[in-house]
Amino acid sequence: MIEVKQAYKTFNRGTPDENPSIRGLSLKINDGDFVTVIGSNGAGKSTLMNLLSGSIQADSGSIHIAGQDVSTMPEYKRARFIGRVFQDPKVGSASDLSVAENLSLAMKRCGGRGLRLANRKAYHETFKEKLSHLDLGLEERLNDSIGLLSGGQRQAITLLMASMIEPHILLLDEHTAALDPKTADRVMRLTDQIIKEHKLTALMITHNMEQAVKYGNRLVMLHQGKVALDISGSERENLKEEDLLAQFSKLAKT
Amino acid sequence: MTLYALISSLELGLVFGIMAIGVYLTFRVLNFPDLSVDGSLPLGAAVSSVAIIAGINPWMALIAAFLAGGLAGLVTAFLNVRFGIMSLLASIVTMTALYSINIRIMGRPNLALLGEETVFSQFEAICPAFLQGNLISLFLYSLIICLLGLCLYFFLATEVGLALRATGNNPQMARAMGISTGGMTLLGVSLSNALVAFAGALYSQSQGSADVGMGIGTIVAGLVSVIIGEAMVRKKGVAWALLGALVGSCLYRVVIGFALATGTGDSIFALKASDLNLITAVIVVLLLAGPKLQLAARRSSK
Ligand SMILES: Nc1ncnc2c1ncn2[C@@H]1O[C@H](COP(=O)(O)OP(=O)(O)OP(=O)(O)O)[C@@H](O)[C@H]1O
Ligand SMILES: [Mg+2]
Repeated sequence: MIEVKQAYKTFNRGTPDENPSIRGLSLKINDGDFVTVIGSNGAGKSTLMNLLSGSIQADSGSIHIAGQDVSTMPEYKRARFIGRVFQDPKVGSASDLSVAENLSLAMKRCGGRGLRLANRKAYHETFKEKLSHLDLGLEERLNDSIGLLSGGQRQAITLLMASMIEPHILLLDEHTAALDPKTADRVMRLTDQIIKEHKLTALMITHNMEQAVKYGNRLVMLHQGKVALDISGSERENLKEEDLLAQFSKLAKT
Repeated sequence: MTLYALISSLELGLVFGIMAIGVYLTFRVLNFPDLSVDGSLPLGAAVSSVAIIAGINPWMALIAAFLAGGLAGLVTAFLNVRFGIMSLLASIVTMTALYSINIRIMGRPNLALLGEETVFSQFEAICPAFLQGNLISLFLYSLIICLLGLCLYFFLATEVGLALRATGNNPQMARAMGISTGGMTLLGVSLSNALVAFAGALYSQSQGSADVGMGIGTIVAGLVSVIIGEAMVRKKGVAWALLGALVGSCLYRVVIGFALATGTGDSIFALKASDLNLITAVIVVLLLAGPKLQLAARRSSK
């Protein structure tokens, strides 16, 4: 379970650029929830993910993951709970390292790095098997630098890396936004498949209303750094794209 | 250029190749521009010389220099990781402090190892007879470099080594993969400076002296070697990069040796040993500006 209690985050506090991004946000995510997160630009969606992952620290409030208070835990230690795919395809993988080396890094996300060979032949069968599910022909390119691949190919690999060792929660930040429609669809279906297969808990930000209602069992809308809408259960099942658009225009007026 | 001069240049190339590999670690692997090597090279020389004069085994003196260099690197990295001081600035601070520290260690600005045991004199004693004079040190350098290079190559292929490379390449992703980027910076910069100090110690044992000023221009020479190496060895991968730094270092010293050998004379334009840093700076500029100059030439010829 993930619980955010009364989180506040203001960027550039005390300067003319002061910008309150998260203002008393509370959110409880149960194990097995697949939450889609929507909200207008600047609503604080990415900031919420950065707070969860520890990339930035909240000014106040607390964050619990799996019953543990992680509010002050550094990002690299929280990585043990979290698999993450970033908005920018370049951020999720190391461009100078090969595909196999990147995937090898993901094998040790939960720690335990030592002086054993990192990129082991013994891993390669697993890597090839997982890559072949992507249907992008990447299983033949284990030794290519990741920098040589396209954004979509990289994003697909980042998804594999994030889920290589089952995370307590999977964070997806508009992870298909930079991809062409066909690849976006393939990556999205693979995401859904991985989440269902391993019964993962996931948080997915999207600006695509069709995705927002089609996937997941719960929908959260952020507005001005707070949860404005939280729909689950049968209400969520009957939710239509039009309802969401109506909500957007309602919030725009306030 | 005489054969003797060529061999001396190669020797310099090899010993400073160890230093170039250290510079490769910070500049290329960790993406952490580190100038403290200008201070850790003489630090290694100072520690090794003082240790030898105190009667310590010259091999142990090399190890002591290695550790001292590691400590210097640790300080630079700590300033950066803990206090967020920019890497260039943090390393300049360390470099400046090391100047005073090196004089403290030696008790004065330079030391001579008159008649003391060195790794070279010890090696000469057990060396097969066909190796003589200059060749002895060339052989010993090669031996040490092969050993160090292999160790480093295998280290960079381990899980920790890969974490180090990921840290330099994409720190944000590294953290998301559970890597302590701060810890890796401490480790990498220490290792780099340890290698540089080791090179300084080895060099001082071959020269029979240590001088506080011997570190000036180290970083530039190391960079030149790395860049020449990359231009010569075009293949990707850690092994090739390590080899490239070595080849680059040797080539650079041979070019310098050649320039000094041909450019001597009595006119004011004749080259002196002290012109080395100027020549190096010019080479760096040419190497870095080369691609742009070529482009400009192609444009104007159209
Ligand atoms: N590092 C930062 N420094 C200063 N301000 C920031 C920073 N990161 C986010 N902000 C501000 O916080 C607010 C929320 O940003 P955030 O990136 O969370 O929005 P978002 O909901 O992800 O928007 P989008 O849909 O455009 O990605 C914005 O006003 C933004 O300007
Ligand atoms: Mg965003």
